Amino acid sequence: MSSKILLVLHSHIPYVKRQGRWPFGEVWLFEAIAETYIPLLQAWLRLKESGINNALSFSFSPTLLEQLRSTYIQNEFIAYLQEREALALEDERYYMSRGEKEIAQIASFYRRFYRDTRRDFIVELDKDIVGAIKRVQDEGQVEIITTAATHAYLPLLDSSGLEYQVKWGKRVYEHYFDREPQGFWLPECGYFHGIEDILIENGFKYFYVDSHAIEGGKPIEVFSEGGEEAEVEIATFARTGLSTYRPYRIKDKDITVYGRNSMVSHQVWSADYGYPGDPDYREFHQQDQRSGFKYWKVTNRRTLEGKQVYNPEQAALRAKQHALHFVRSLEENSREARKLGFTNPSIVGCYDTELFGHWWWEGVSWLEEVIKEIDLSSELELALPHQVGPAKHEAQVFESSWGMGGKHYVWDNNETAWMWEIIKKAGKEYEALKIYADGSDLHTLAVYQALKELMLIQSSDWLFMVSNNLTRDYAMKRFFEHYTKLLRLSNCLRSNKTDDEFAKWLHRIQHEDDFFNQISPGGLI
Amino acid sequence: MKGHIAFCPHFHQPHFQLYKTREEAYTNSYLPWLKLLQDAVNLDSFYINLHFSGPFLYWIRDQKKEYLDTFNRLMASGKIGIIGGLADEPFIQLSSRVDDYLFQLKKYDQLLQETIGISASEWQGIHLVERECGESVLREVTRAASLIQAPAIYYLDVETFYQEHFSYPGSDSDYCLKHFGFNDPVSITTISHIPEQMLFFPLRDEIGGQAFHAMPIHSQFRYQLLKRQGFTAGDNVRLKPAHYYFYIKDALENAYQMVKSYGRDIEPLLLIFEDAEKFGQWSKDPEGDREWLLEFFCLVDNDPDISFTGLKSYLKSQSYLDSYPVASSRSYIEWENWTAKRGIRGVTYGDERLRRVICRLRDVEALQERLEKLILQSFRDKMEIELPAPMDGIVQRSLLESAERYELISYILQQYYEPQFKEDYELLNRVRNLLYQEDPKWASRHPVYGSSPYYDVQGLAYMEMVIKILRSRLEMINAGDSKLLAVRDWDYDGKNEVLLENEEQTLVLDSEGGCISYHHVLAPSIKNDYSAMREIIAGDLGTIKAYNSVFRYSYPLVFTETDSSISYQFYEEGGRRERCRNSLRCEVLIENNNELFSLGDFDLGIYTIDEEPDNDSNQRVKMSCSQTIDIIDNMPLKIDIEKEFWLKEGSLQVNIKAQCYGGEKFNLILAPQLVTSATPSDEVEFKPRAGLGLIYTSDEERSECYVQDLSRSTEDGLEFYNQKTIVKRPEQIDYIYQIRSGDGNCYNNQISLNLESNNRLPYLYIEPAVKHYYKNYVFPDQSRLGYHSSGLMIRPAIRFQDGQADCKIGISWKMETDFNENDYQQFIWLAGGNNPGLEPA
Repeated sequence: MSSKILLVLHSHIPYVKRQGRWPFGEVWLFEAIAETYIPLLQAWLRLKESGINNALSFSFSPTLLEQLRSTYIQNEFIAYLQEREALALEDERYYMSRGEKEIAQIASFYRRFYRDTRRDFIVELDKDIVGAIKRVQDEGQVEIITTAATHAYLPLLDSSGLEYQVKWGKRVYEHYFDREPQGFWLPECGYFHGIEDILIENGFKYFYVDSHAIEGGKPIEVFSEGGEEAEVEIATFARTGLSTYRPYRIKDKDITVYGRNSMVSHQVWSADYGYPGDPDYREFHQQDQRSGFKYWKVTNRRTLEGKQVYNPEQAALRAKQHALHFVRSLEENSREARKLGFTNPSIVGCYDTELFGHWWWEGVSWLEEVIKEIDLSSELELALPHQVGPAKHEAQVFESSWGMGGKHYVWDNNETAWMWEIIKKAGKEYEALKIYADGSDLHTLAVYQALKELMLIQSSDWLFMVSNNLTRDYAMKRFFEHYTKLLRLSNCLRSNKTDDEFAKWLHRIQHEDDFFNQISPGGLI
Repeated sequence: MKGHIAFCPHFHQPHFQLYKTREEAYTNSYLPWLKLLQDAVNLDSFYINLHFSGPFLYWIRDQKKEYLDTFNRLMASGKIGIIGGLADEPFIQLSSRVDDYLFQLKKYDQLLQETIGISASEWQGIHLVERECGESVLREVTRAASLIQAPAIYYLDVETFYQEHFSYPGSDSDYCLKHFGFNDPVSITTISHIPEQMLFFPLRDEIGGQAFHAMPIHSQFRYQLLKRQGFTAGDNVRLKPAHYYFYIKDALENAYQMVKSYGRDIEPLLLIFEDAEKFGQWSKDPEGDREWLLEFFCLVDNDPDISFTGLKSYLKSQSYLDSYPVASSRSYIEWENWTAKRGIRGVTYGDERLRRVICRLRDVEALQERLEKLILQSFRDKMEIELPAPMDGIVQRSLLESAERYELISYILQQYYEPQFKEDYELLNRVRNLLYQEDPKWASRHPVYGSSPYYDVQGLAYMEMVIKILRSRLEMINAGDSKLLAVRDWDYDGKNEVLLENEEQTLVLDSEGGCISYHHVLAPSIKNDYSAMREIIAGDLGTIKAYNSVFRYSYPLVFTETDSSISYQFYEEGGRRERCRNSLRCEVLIENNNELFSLGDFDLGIYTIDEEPDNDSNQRVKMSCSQTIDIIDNMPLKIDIEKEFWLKEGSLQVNIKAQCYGGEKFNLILAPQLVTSATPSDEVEFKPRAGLGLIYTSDEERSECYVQDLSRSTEDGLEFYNQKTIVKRPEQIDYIYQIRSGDGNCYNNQISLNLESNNRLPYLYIEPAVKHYYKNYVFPDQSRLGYHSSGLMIRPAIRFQDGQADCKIGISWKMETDFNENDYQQFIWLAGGNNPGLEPA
C-alpha cells in the first residue's frame, strides 16, 4: 500500500483591482498570474499530457476569482506583459552595451518569458484562467475548494461577519464552478471552536488546519529567524497523541479535518534550510534599479550583500536535486508512519500557491519534478481528499493558525488592535444601516456596496501588512478608504441624503470596488 | 493594422540524390504537400510562393510525371506563385565565369516553362541558393535576371541586413564602441539604420548599379514552423498553429508601430521560408504536419487583418520601405553569414576535398577559355574583321567578360561548325555547371554515406570524360598539346603538385606528404572512344536523368575525405586545419615492447620533386624526403625515403625505398598507406557491400592481420567491431565494391593492389580510409565514417633489414567486373555480406 500525498495550494491575492498599479496594487496580481498561475497551469497540463498522476487540491479566494475573471484585469494584464517585455528588451540592450553579457542573457530570457506568457494567456487560456481551472476540475484530477470571501481572519470575526465571509465564499465558488464546494480553506489555517458549525451549515465536508492544531506541541516555526523573538506570543499546545497521518472527524460533528505535515512544510518554508533559500536560486529581494528585474541569485541567504549573477541552468539543476530530496524525504516519512502503525498514511502539504514561481522562481519546476518523482515512486501516490477515504477517528482541534506563534498573534497584536476595533464597529454600522434602506434601487445598491466595503475592511491582508510592517502605508490607506466609504454610505442612508450627488459618488465607488456583481443584491442581503 | 504573410517553401533534392532518400521524401513530404495544397487553395485568401530547385524539377520530370500533372491542375487556382532560381542549385559564385549566372537562370527558365508553363517574367522572385548573397551574386544574378525579364526580388536572411553590431550593441563585434567609444544602448552606430523590429518590409538596394529588392527572412519563424516536437532530448518546445500565428501577429504589429515612427504608412510583410521537407519528411508524420499547416492557413484566412501574398504582388501593392541605408558595398557578409555559424565546412578552398573539385573545375575552365578564344579568333578570321591591335584585345576581353559569353560561342558554333561541336560545347558547359551544385559543399548531410562526396564523385566522373572530349576538340582545331602535364601549385596552397594524365588516368601528386591527392580512372572500354563518352554523358545529362550507372565507366580512386586524426591543431582551445587521408603517405615506425611509434613526419612532411615527367610517354615522378631524428640523445638517425610514381597503361606503379643510417639497433618499420576513397553504394536499400580478396605468395611467412571497423547491421544501426588473425603474406589484394544504382543496375568494381617487397611483412593493417572527419565540428554520428562512407586504407608494415626497406605497389582497376569469393585464398567482407571478417590462414 502506498502513502497518499495530498498537496494543497492556497491561492489568494487581496482585492487590488483599480486600487493602484505600482509599486503596490495591481502589480501584485499581475506578478502572481505571470509567475505562478499560468506557469503552474502549463506545468499541470504538461504532466497530464505525459500521463502522470497530477492530483492536486487548490483553493482560490473569491477576491482572486473575481479579479481573474474581470475583463479590465485581463486587458491590463496583457498591457503589463507587454510593458515587461519591452523593459526586458531595453535591459538586454543596455547590459550588452555595458559588456555584461550574463545579465543581458537573463534579460533576453525575461523578454521571451513575458512574450510566451502573453501568448499562453491569449491563445491557450483565452484570457480566462478561471475557465481553465474549472475545466481542469471537471476533468477530475484536481479538486478546488473555496475560502472566506475576502480572506478575512475568521477566528476573531463577529458572527455576522463570519456568516458573510463563508456564504459569499461558497456562492462565488458556485457561480464560477457550477458545483458545491466540498472543502473550505480557513484563511491562515485560522481555526476556532465553532467554525465547523457554520461550515457544516453551508454544506462543507472538510477543512485544513496546521499540524499543532491536531498533534499539539510546538507550532511549526514558519519564520525560523525571529521566531523566538520576545514580543511574539508563542502559544503552547498540549501533546494529544494524535497524528496528521490520518484525517479526523471533529468530535460529534459531521465534518473532516486534515492536518498539514510538519516535515513537508519545513523542507520548503524553513528560512534556515528551506529549499527556496538555496544559494543557486534566484534572489527575490534584489532588483535591478532600472527595470525591477531580478538578475541575481541568493548566493547567501543571510545577507543581501555580494549577490552573484543568476545562472538559470544551475538553478534548474538544483530544483531537480531538491525535488528528488523532497520525495525521498516523503518516502522516509511514509516509512516512519508505517512503523508507527499507520498502514495507509496520508501526508498533507499545504502551501501558498504564490510561493511557486512568484516568491520562489524555480518553485514551479520543483513542484513539477516532485510530481514526476512521486509518480515513479512505489511508496507514494498523489491523492485528492475524497480518495483518502472517510475519517474513522474523532478529534478535538486546538484554536490555532499557521502564523508565527501558532495562534492569532500575526493578525492580532499591539500594531493591529485598533484595526479590530474598527472592523467590529464597521460590522455594527453595516447591520444598522440596513434598517434605513427604503427598498428603492438606489438604496438597495447602497446597502449592497456597504457590504462589499465591510468585507474589504475584514480582509486579513491589511492586518498582515501592518503587523509585519510590509507596505503598511498602502494597507492603512486601503483599510481607511473602505471604512470611510462604509461610513459615508451609512450616513447618507441614515440621513436619507441619497441625492444625485450621492448617486454619482455611489456609481464611482461601485466602479472602484466592483466585485461580486454577478449575484443579485437582493438575494444576498 | 494590416499585415501580409509570404509563405515560401523550398523543394529540393540534389542532383545524384540517392534513390531511397528521394522516394522517402516523395512519400512523406511531396505527395502530402499536394494533398495540403488541394485543400488550401479553397481558402479565400490563401496564396503560396513555391520554389522548386532545378535538380528537384529534373528528377520530378524524369521520374514523377504524374506529380507534375496534379500540380499543374492546382496552378489553375491562381493561388500558387512560383519563385524562380538557378538550374543546378549551385554556389555559382564559385565559378570563374560570369556568364554562368545567365546560363543557370536560362536553364531554369526553360525547365520551368517545360514543366509548369511559367516564364521568367511571371516569377514572384528569385531564390538564391542557401540565401548566400555575396555582392557578386546579387549583382550578377540581378544583371542576368534583367536579360530574361525576371524580377530581381530576393528573400535573404535578416542577419544579412542586421549585423551583430547592430543587434547587440556593446558586443565584441561592435566596432563603433571599440574604436570611437560611442555608447548608446539603443543605437550604437554612427550610421543611421533601421531598427531590428522594422525589418519586416522589402528593402531596395543596388550593387554596381544593379538594383534589386530584398525581403528579410527571420530565422525564428523557420524554427517555430511545424515545431510539433523537440529537435533534441532537452528541447521541450512545442508550438501549436495558434502560437505560431500569435508570434507572427506580434511581429507584424511591432513592425507596423515602428514604421509609423519612420514616417511611412505601409503594411508589414512577414516572410516564412523553410525547406519543404520539414513537412512530413523530417517529422515522419505527414498527416500531423498537414493538419498543423492547414490549421495555420485557416487562422490566416479567418483574420481580416492578415493575408497571404506573393512577393512581387506585395511589392506592387505596397512598395518597399526604403533603400538599405548602410553602405551597400559592405552590407552583405560573404558566404559565412549563414553556413559558418552552423559548423559547416568552408565551401571553397577551406576544405581540402572540395578544393580538389574547384581546382579540377579551374582546369576545365582554363581549357574551355582556350577553346573559346580560338573560336572567337577563327570567327573574326571568317568574318574578315580586322581590328587594330589594342582594339583586338579589348573586344576579346569584353566578349569573354560578357554575361552572354556562352550564348555567343554557342551561336558561332551553330553557324560555322559541324553540329557535334556545338553539342560537345554544350555538354561541357552543362557538366561543368552541374559541379557547382551546393549540396556536396556541406559536411553533414548523408545518413548512409557519411558525407556528401558521393554527389561530387558522380559529377567528377562525367567531368573527366568531358575533359577528354574537350582535349580532342582542341586537337582537332590544332590547338596543340592540351594536356596539363605540369609541376605547379595545382591546388593553390602555396606548394607544388605534379599533374600526370594519360588516356585513362588523371593523377595529382602532392609534395606535402609525397602522396596521391587525386586519382581518377576511366574504364578501358571507353579509352579514347569519344563517341562512347558523348553517348554516356548526353544520355545521362542531356536531359538530366535522375539515375545513372556512370561508375561503370569512370571513377575516382583517390578523392578522400578529411581525416581528423591527422588534422593540425593551431591552439589548444581549437582552430585546426583538416587534412585529407591521401594515398601513399608513408610512415616510419619504431617497434618497442610490441608497440609502434611514429618517427618524424614522413606522412605529412614536404617531399622534394627530384624527377619531373618530361613527356607523355614517360610519366614518371620521383620524390624524396630526408629527415634526421634524435631517438636517444646524441644518436641522430637519418632516414631517407624515395618514392617513384609511374603512370602506365592500365595501372599506376609506385616504388618506395627507405634507407636508414645509424638505426641498426632499432626495429624500424616502413608503413605505406594504400588508400582508396572508392566505396560501395546501394542507393535503393542502403545495404552497401564491399570486401577484400587476398592471394598469397608461396612464401611461408605469416603476418598478423588487424582488421578494424568491420560493420554489421543491427536494429540500432551499424555496429562496428575489430578482428585480429594470422595470415600468409599477400601478393595481391583485390578490393571489390558493389554499386547498386537507382536505375536498377547492380555491378562490381575492383581495385587491385600488387605488393612486392624484399623485406619481411610482420603486420598488415586494414581499416576504413577515414574514421572521423570534422570530429566535434559536426554531429558525432555524422562524423563517424566507415568503409561504406570513406573507403579503405591498407597499411602493410615492412620491416627494415640492414637499414633498408622497400616495396613495389601496382595499382590497377576493373569496372563492372565479375568476382567470385572462391577465386581467392581468403575473402574478407568489410561491409555487408553474411559473415563479415576473415578466417585464419
